[in-house]
Amino acid sequence: MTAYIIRRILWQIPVLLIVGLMTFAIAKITPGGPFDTDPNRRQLSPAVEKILKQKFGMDLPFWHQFTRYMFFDFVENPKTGETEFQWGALGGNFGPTYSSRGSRTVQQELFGDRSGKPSRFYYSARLGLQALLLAVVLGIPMGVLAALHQNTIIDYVLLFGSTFFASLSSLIVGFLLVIIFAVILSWFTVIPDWSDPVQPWILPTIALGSIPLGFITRLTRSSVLEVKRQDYIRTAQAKGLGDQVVIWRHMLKNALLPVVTILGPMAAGLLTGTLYIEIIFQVPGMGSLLVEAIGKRDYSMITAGALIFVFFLGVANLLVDIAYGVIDPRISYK
Amino acid sequence: MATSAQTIGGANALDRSNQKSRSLWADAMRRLTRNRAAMVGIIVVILYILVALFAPLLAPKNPVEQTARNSLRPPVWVTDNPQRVPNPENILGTDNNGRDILSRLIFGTRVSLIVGVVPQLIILALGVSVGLVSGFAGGWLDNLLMRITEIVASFPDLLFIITLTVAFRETLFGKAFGGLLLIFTAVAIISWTGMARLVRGQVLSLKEKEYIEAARALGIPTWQILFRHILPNTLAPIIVSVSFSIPGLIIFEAILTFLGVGMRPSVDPTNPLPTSLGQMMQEGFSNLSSGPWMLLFPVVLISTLVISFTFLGDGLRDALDPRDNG
Repeated sequence: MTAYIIRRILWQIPVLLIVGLMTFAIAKITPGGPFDTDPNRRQLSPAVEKILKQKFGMDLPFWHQFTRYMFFDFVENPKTGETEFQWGALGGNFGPTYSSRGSRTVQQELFGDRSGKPSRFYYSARLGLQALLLAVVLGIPMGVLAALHQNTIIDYVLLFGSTFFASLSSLIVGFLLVIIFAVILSWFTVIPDWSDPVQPWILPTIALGSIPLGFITRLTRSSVLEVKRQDYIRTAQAKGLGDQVVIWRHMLKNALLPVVTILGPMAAGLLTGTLYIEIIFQVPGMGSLLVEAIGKRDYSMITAGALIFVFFLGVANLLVDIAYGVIDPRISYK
Repeated sequence: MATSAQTIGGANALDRSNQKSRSLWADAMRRLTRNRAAMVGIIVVILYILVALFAPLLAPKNPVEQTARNSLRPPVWVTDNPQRVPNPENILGTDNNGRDILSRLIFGTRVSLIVGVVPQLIILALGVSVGLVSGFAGGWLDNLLMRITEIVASFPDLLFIITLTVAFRETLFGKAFGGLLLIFTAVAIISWTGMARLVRGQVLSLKEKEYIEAARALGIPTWQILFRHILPNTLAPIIVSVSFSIPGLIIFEAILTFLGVGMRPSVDPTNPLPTSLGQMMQEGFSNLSSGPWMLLFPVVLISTLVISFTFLGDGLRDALDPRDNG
């Protein structure tokens, strides 16, 4: 098991490297740079641009730029003139953002405090966790309920509802929620007040969580139906065990295994979902910042965003794999 | 065998005794037409295809024609606001530029359907060839191809597509067909991995079958075994997988265009693809409080389309893979 985990962690390194290299390469080979985004805006004077390019190391050869960004480099400190060691993305330093012309670093923008307000990372992480929680806490009981009442009206309603949400996208659900609850019913303001700890979170959490909710409900239902037919359930019932014990101890424990496996891909969906959900509901999180960065062609931010996303995905998948091994003693990792 | 089947259930047993005379496809067709949800799905999809094909005949107005003093008219049945009186000529109202929403919707379905289908060709070409080679060759080649697949699959798809579309947006390639060509390519480059894994798995299980061994013993060349004996047998799961991935692609276009990196707005009245549902959603979202109908209609349209494809996919899966029927 330990060997397996180590191997999985090691496998993340080439993945991160290749993702970094690809985003980095795309940024370099395409025409236009971060300093000439908008032709209508005042252009930088060639002298200033040269200084900026020097500051970002854009005059270095490609491989040097890449290794400086990803790993580390020895950089000359402009004030003291001494050469200093500087970590790259590997050490958590994603470099200065292009759009701030170097005054702020990517990690400050993403994880830093913003004059008393929580960091952008906090908003995204909280939104994602709330959505996941909503999906798991509601989805599993609903799936069990549907399966135990198979072919009744409860089952049909739950199955139709979960199929509906599972086939949509959180983009569509988000739009529907905004139209219904913010515009038509006016229960929520279109422009959220983030000092309120509950109210502005409700709609984005539902929008983001509804798709995994649909998936989990459907999967739990079919998995409970499968388990229900097994011999050991009949044995448990024949032993005279109560319904509750059979359902919770014998049925659910086995039925939940497939549900655990989709939590990994689900985390991926939640992560990318924050990109547009945060725009729709004006959440000041990482997703909306990344979309902004994309508009400004702020490649240091975009590359950092891709790396961070891949990192979280890897962690989520690893956790799911480990959880799977812990829950199911039949699985052994080599 | 026959007696045990007959004891299970009358009608079912009769079907099974006749089954030898029918092909897999006829059988699947029969199962599909019995599935009510799938039939509803097919009918809706066909309806959308017809609308997309005959858009110029069906649309009451030109989708990019802007009429002065006719902007943000609500749909004809919304008469409760005296400041915004509907125009009977625009059944579903107009947008902030005075363009007819119904006509734009009719033309917008074109792009959604094209986006759902065209990238599939690239996905199929890439996925099927990687899967076939990987599964059949085995060894180091299989290992290499599967590692590449794994890396591509671990990209955050949306973020990668966005990066690609942003990077190439201003090139000639990125401007072709109002940005659609770039969307097709970007989406396909990241989406073929599922297909490759599916085909590889199928090939791995098929190549152990006796009839492949027989073919090989007969001295049939490898490419012929691949294309005549293995590929046709992977067709059913491929069809199911394609029909399931269409809704995802339609949504991708909407997301990209909503984020401002998808289709470009067009003002050319002769453009056959002047707008997309994603673009209408983006315009609708920026006029949310003054004209919520601008957002509502494309959202409803795209949800119906996506759900119909899902029903169709569910039906196809049940029809082509009878093992799941229990």
